[in-house]
Amino acid sequence: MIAFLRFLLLTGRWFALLGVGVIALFLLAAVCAPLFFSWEEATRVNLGDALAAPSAALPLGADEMGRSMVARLVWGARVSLLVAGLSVGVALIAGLVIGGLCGFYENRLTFVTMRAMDAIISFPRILVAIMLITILGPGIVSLTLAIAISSVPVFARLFRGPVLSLKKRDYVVAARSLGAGDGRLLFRHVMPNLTALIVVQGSISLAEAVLIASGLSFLGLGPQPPVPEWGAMIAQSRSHLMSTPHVVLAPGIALFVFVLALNLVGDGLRDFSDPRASGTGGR
Amino acid sequence: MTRQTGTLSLDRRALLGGAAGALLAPGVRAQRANDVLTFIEGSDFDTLDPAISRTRSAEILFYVMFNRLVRWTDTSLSAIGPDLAESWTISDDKLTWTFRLREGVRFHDGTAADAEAVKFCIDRLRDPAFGSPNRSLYTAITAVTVVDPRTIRFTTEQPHAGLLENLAESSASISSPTAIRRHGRNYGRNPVGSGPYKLEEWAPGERTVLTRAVPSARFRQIIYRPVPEGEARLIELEAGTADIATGIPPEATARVRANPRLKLEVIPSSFQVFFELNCARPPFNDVRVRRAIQFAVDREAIVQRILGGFGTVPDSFVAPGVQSYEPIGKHPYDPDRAKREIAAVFPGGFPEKIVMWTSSGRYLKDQQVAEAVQGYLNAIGLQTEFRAWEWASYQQTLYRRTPNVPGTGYGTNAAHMWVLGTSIPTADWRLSRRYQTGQSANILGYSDPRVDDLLNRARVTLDPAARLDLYHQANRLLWQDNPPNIPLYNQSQIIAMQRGISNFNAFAFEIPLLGEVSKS
Repeated sequence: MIAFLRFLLLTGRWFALLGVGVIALFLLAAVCAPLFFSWEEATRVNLGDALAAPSAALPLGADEMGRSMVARLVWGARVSLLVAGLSVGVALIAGLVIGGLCGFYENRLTFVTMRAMDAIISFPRILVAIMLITILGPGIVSLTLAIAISSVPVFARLFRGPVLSLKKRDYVVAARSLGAGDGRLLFRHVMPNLTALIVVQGSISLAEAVLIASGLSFLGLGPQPPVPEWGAMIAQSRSHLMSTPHVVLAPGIALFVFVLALNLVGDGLRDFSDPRASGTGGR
Repeated sequence: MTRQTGTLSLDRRALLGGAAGALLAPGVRAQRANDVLTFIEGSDFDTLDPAISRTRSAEILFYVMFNRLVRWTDTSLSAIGPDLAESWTISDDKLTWTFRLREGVRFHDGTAADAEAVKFCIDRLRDPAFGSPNRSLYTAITAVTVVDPRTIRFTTEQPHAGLLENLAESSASISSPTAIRRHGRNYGRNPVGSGPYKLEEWAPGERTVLTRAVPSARFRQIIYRPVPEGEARLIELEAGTADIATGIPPEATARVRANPRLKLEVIPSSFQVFFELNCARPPFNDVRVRRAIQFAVDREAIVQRILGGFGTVPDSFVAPGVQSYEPIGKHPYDPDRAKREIAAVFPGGFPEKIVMWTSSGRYLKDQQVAEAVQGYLNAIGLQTEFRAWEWASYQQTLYRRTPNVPGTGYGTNAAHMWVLGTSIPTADWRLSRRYQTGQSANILGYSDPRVDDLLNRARVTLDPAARLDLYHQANRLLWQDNPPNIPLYNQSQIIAMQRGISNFNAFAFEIPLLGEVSKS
């Protein structure tokens, strides 16, 4: 982490640094949400304040139900991060296992597995997710699962490629000839080389997962009210875009800034982990 | 040289003009074609067979595609007048109704719209094997007899006070028997009536086109398009690609009023939107809880803050505009009382989560209102679980009986309460359909012998005042003594249209009379 920050500083990647800052801010908000605002504040209906304009008590105004927009944004960050983080984590691990095994062993079973992955990947991810949620019913858990399952094939394919080539490297062959077993080869000699890939793809997938999660919530397939979720907040207040724009713009901007920050950090990470690209300086 | 430049600039101007023309073209075309009426609404329909439809948006089209035997003469439902029937008489024992049909009416496929056709359609509605969801409207009829091609006789076992009202329902639209026989189960996609317009094209989810079937019809074409978003409907009006749009969101009304090319009509609606309570499952199987929960919801705030004042707080079990409306008195907002009365039934609080379902976008601000209600229930200490549904799957799920559970008998048992609305203007159908014991649309499992008895008696009471009094009693029972739902608001119809549209009128049950509109 420190090394990454120093790298960004030294090579003058200010945008990526900004991204790190923004993500840290969102993380802080998400983790410490209960310290700033109670769950009550984010969910209690108070029609007296419906669509209130920004004020000292309600820094970003109130939504249609008279709930504080700031409180909902902060708790919404928690939901978004939780869903995105968990789903990417699950997908990453599943992708590593499938991709690693299918790359390391080449037989009929792994062939069929990879073709199945190809089949899933041929559908747009959001469609796969919608299909899964239709079966599971809307909610946070099924949203997380749906995004995870729909992104497993991406990871599996991505990780299988390097494994295919890595296992033929001389040092792996050498280790094998010294009598190392499959497990040792895979975990000691092959997998560690995937770290950079995991980190970069993880951060990019995180941005994608946030977008898909809010997209699905926009369609009403995410967490159900009163749970605040950015996409659902946009969906519900979108008819007020012309009359009281702040209720639509606030979650929209939050989403935009967060996804942008994730992408900027992803770019920085890519440069950091790929020594050949690091010489090119700022962007 | 100069000349060349001149030509060039002229060309450029022509080009610009052409481009501008192309940009404006759709709007210009929509306004110029005075013989095409484009009507946009929020929802599409699943069938165009009037006998089995229960979708209001389809009803709008039934009114111009079909004839019924009789019809309401005006939108205030003051009297019933002739349609296919030109006159009718009732026997002295009040058990036989004889209708004399108009001469020479033909369906769009050429079949004669005679007594045989009427018998065919009414018998089809009554046939239990056919299973029309509107069947119970017509079960009081025991026999339909063709006397001669222009005379038909309805026999009932008991005097039937609501017969004419029921025959004026759009489900009693008379279809061509030939078409029904030819298309069978597919008739819903190939409807044939005898009204001023006939179906030309139906692309589900996209558009339905009706064309002129008789020379006197005002428009060459009536185009119906479902546009789910209220905001999008308004944009279409602003762009001139539609003539009339219903269900304008309250927050957009200011924009309509500010636009010199558009106008706004706000028409009272007989739509009352409510949270229906599952009477077969705790806690709402206990009438004390159903009574207490009425005080938990601040309806005034809902109407003012969420509906922007476009609606009214219910003061009776039915909305104004319904036959049996009579103000009883609003339920006060008193959360402490609600809390106290529920605590008397469940001293430690109700232990489970209350599952609340709502449609999203079917009624004015339905999901938002449901969320507000969720807030009010949480405020009196009830735990809730919320789910917003898309209309088509919502309706299917609600009316699908939960397997292996006695439940409500006719609908889902998976939820404790769900948002629904009804716009039915006739007293009998409005109450008996949902709240009489054993009715197929009584998906909440409500049963009160007193209500059943009042409705049964009203049905055979031919004296209008006495009959109305029975409905008033039933309304009061359903409002105070034994409520089956939490009434939330009475809707208003917010309709925007081009300035050139005149003579626009709509029934309180949200059926605009498209055939009567004029456009200039």
